[in-house]
Amino acid sequence: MSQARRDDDETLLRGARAGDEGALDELIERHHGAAFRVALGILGNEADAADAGQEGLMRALRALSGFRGEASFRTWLLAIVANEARSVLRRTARRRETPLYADTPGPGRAADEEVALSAEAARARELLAKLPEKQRLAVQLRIDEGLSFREVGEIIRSSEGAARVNYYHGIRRLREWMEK
Amino acid sequence: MSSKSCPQLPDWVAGRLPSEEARAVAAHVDACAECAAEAGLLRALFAARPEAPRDLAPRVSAALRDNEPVVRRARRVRRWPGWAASAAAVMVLAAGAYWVGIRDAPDFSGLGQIPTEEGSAWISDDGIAAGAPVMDELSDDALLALLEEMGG
Repeated sequence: MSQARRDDDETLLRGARAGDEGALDELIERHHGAAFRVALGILGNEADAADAGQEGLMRALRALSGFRGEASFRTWLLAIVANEARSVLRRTARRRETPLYADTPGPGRAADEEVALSAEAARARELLAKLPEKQRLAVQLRIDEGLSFREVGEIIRSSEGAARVNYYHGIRRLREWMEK
Repeated sequence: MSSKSCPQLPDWVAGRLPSEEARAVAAHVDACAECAAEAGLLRALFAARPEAPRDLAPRVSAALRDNEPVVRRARRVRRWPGWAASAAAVMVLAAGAYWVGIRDAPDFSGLGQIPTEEGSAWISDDGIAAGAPVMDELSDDALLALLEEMGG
């Protein structure tokens, strides 16, 4: 995570703690996408992920006084969301997967290239969902959210080294599956 | 070259690197087939990263503003599969019949009925003690999990 973004978060945090609703809304706007994706990575379906994401965000933002700045705000918040999602997973007893991929093309590419990338991207994402949880989250958090391995480890409850190993195992396995 | 020696690849495909660093990684990827292959996978994954539902952020803002408690929202109505509904009906009927059986059972002076902390339990013909199943306090999710276990 970039230093600039961290600094911005700290400014917003100070505002939110002082009762500035605009600062609170900005924190929500910045982090709700990552919160949703973390919950989705654990739960595997969008409806449960949206619920868990909402509940995790609410728990975290109501407990800002408990944030002591030992981790980045984003890591702290995502760890709370991950706990909430795991708790939902325990209650519902199993992961319900739905296909997850964006079907809208990105900017700046030719239409043919877009179609090929979209199909490949959809397949990559479906295969990602089949990795074991720690590998799946390590790959997801590193690529989607740009977290460092230390931050990934805080969320998947492992050391920095184990987070790195999970990431590389996940990537290696995905490449093998994609080549089949 | 191993892709492990190019740890910036995820940040490069996601456009998170400063321009100078991005140029250096691009030059490396051009010359390294291993990193180029991995970058292709990472690019595909990043391109399809899921977006949150549009109403999630406003929902959280509104809930915090209205000081709503953090409780699980009412579950969406999920249609139970036919077998689950049938199994539930059988269990309810069985529990009812069992309860009527206990209520109307003749008094055998405690020969088959043994006291327990919860009340009593019956020793069946095969000698297995069983109490009336308590399902009132089970959540929908717990009941569904129980039904799934029963259904194998």
